[in-house]
Amino acid sequence: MRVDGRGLVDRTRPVRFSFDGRFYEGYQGDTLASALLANGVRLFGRSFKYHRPRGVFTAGSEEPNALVTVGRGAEQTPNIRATVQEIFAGLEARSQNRWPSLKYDLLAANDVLSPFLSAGFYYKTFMWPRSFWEKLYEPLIRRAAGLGALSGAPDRGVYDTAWANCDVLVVGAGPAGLSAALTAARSGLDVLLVDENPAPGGRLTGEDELIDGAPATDWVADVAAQLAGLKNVRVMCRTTVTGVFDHGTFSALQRSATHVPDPGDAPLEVFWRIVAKACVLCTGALERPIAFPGNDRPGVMLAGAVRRYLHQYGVAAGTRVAVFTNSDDGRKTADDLRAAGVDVVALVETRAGVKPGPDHPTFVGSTVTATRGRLGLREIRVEGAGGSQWIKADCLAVSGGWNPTLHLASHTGARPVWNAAIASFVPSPGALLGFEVAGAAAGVFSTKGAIKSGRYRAKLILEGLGAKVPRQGSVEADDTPPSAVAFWQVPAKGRAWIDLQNDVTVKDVELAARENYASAEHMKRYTTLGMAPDQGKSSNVLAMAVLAAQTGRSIAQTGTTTFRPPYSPVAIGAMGANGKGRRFAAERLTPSHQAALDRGAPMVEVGLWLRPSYFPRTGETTWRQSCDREVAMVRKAVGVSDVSTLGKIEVHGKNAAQFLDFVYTNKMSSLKVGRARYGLMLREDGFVMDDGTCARIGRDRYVLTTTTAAAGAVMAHLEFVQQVLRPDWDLRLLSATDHWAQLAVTGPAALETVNHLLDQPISREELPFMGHRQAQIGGVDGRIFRISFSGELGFELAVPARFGDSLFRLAVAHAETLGGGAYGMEALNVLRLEKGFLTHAEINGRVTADDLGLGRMLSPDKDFVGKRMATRPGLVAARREQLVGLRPVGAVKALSAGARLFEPGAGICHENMQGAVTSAAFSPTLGHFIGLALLEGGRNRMGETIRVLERLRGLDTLCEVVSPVFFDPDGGRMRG
Amino acid sequence: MVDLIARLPGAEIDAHSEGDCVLGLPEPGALTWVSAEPGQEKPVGKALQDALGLGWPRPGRVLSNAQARIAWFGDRQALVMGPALKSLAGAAVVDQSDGWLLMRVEGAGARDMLMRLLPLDLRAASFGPGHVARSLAGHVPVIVLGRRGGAFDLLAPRSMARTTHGDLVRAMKTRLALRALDA
Repeated sequence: MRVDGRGLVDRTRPVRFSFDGRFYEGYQGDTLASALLANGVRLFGRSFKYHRPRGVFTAGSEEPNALVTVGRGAEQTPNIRATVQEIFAGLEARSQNRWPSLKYDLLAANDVLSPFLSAGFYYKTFMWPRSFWEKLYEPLIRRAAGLGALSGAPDRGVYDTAWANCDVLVVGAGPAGLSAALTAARSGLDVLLVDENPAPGGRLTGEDELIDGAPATDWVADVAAQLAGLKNVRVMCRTTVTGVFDHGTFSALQRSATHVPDPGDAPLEVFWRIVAKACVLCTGALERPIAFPGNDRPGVMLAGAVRRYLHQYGVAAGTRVAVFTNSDDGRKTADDLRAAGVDVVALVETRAGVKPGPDHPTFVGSTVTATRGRLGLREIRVEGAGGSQWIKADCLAVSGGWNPTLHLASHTGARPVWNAAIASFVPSPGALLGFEVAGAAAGVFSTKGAIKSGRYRAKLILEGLGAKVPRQGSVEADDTPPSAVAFWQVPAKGRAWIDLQNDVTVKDVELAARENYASAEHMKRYTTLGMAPDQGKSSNVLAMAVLAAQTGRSIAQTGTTTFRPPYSPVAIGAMGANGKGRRFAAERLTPSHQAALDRGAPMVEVGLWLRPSYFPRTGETTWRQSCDREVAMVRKAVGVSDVSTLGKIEVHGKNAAQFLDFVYTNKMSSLKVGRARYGLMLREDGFVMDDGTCARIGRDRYVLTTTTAAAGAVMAHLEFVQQVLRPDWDLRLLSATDHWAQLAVTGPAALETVNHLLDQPISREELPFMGHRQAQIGGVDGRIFRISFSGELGFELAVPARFGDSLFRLAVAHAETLGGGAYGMEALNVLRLEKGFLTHAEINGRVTADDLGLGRMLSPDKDFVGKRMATRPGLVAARREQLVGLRPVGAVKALSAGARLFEPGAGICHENMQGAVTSAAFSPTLGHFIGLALLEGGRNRMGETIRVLERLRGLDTLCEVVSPVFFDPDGGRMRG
Repeated sequence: MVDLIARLPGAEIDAHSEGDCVLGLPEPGALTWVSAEPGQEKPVGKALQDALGLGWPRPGRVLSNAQARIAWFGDRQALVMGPALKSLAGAAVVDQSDGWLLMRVEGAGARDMLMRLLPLDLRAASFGPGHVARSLAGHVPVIVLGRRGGAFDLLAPRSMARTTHGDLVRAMKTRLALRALDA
């Protein structure tokens, strides 16, 4: 319930929200957890494995229990920590992992069965029969265990990713972080201060302390105001640094709009990548629990959290509160509650030698050995020298000391070191270049210590960066040394939880040790302790202590498990924010894109490019009708297609010819100016990388054409060869693809259309096959190549891209007067298939030149990239799959790319598979389906019948193995 | 003779303004790729000095005057922006005017908006007038040039300009919406 006169929430601004369908009221500044606690709600969820009733345990992002689902339908987000979610008008939250309701959860039967569900249970029980695992056991276990569920619908929430740069990144805005940030900021360096809470202050907003004689929150406000007044400082709240990576790179998740009812255009969350020259980690410390039987009931909470609910939110976590602790810090809880008028029913002190509190019923040298209460704590059993007694309590504040939050300091591999003075691990000093750890994160727990530590660590950073160090006055604040005496577990009968999120008990850790999963990492995997979203925030050190006790080692020897990013969960939607839907990749548009759209062409993705699939005409109802017409048009008249997508690379330099001889398998230095040649490139490992043409346009200048798909890869390859293999050569490379619009004009009547466009007509003799020259089109300087990918008389006209749209429209209009027109990707593919020309369907990364029937292109007279590796026995074996053509001869007259090839009559199994169809299409020219395939020893199997099987589309047919060139095998049509 | 009508890169995209950030599409003039022969940067720089009054740029730098800009473009490569250049002794010279679309972001919010989008340190102390970098805007390889007054020029490949334009407009809107939430 609320405590009058306490808390930083705005009591003048009530906020209405719902939990499990019931409406509640909280105040602006409340979290879901604080608002529900204020309303007397203690039961928040069911546990992961045993479906035990669970309540809120902490007051921060380390919360293991109070995970809820926020929102509804496609907008719902599961596993939101109620301790982090701020309430807003209309917030809708639901509990998870229960059925039919939170109070009556049938799967709580798991709890009754718990003696059988200990660590390693699944591994031991569900091993037999093996085949049952995937179909029966795993789905059952997954249904019973778990957290919240996704909606199943695509997330419509908007997320964003962003970059930031700074000189000094300060993580955490508690006493140390604020001090470090202010120190660094006064030097003039760019400072980025990041904190996961809605406002700075860290621990100070959750305590009742004085700094320089005034409330600590005044000091926080003063420092925050000073920082806000400095231009070189940026403070990002609601932002969690989730990972530390090499080269001063950090990931961070900003909850930018999860605290408002209507974010408008703003993203819900922003995933940041921050690059900093230096970093001060001021991530504070996490309180650790004590393991005792029944320590998981709703109402059992960490003591620091109970204080935070009181001081920050003005909420008493119970009406009869007991405190169980091993330190003065824990005792403070009892004092603070009493001062606020809350009934403190017991102060249970593990330490024997301490004085009883004057104001509380105190039990020194005692422990809590049991608890009762089905859906929430009702009473506790206190045992000590004076015997045992049950005490009625609805909240038990537990403190076993504090663990520095060292996760981020460990992300790049540094192992923490044991510090006996605080009985915990601290980050290994100096383990990270440009990093300092300050305040509680370094084991300095007092407020004064943290402020001094923040200033000092910032000073070291400034000195390292060569910046001036500002002078700062002294500060007066609490400087009590740590008083916790290591106390880990209460030796009493009953289940004592260590990791509440993963439902791991002391018994599980002991069992793991007995079964020789005795190293920290093995124990973690055997018990699931500290896994998944939790990352062992509250449980890690306690678990190591229990494991150490069981194995007879010290905790220092036992070590910790590995902390990995992210520190707290990050939605995949946030990480991939700008790669969703159409934004998965960039879109590349051809110069004639609009002209194609104007003609109603549907677009198809070809790599990053959008290309017209076909150009439908009136009366055509299927793509096949358009495609067949376009193929016939090219074979009988003239077709026009935008081929600007082909990669165009300029190669300049005195060593250009030598270079091309080195990267192509065939000779290019013998090429005459004005001529082009088909060429093949291999990768270093001897496999084919790409094919294309190479045109010599000057003595030391060439233009290479690559396939659309491999343009980028070829450019990268050429740059590699230039920079790494031949750095001493005079070579200059330029990717000129985007500057040019290039149109293929092809068909028996192509010359008429070309001459209509050229300022100076040409003849076939003037421009022989594989010739090229400068050309003027409408007064614009361009180029004309005589090359063909259709097998017909073919030209490619190139003009600067701005004229591509116009040239395309003019060319198509003229072609149409001759009975031709534009053709799209479908027809282009059929035309090249009829000719047996290759694309990357055939050049699939696993083929050699010989596989493709191009072995003769490997020049024996020169060295070239991939030559030696191409002679490896495996790459020249006779049984390799070789390129062949296929023609259906069975009852079914169809073919499909991707179909597998088998000997007729052979069993359908992997061992008998002899290859696959790489491309297939219906050839209107030949009147039947044709296909290209890679078939084992295929070139020597012409005329054989092969079974073609494609189970996805239900295709099962017989084909004759034929030459891959189906049409005009001697090439007379394109060369003539 | 046929009549070819120019359709400039970016004909289908528009200038855009969002709060304190303006995205414009200025005409860059000719873009010419110049690549010096090995060891010829100095003479080529001299020739550029004679022709345009600007020399050879150091890596990551842009030289500019009223008529022209010369931006570092890579190892021994530069991009001349403004006047057309036909040839230059000791260098390969290739017209690239249609290969790139120029977009300009300016206004008080330009730097902040662009810093969110690009993996570059664009803080005023690190990147300003006279600086150039090749980087990625989302998926697209871009060239970024610093200008006076916290403005930036972006060159995006012509074929991908629509994607980059969309990314810029979105970044402008997102930044503004986030600021509205903070206010």
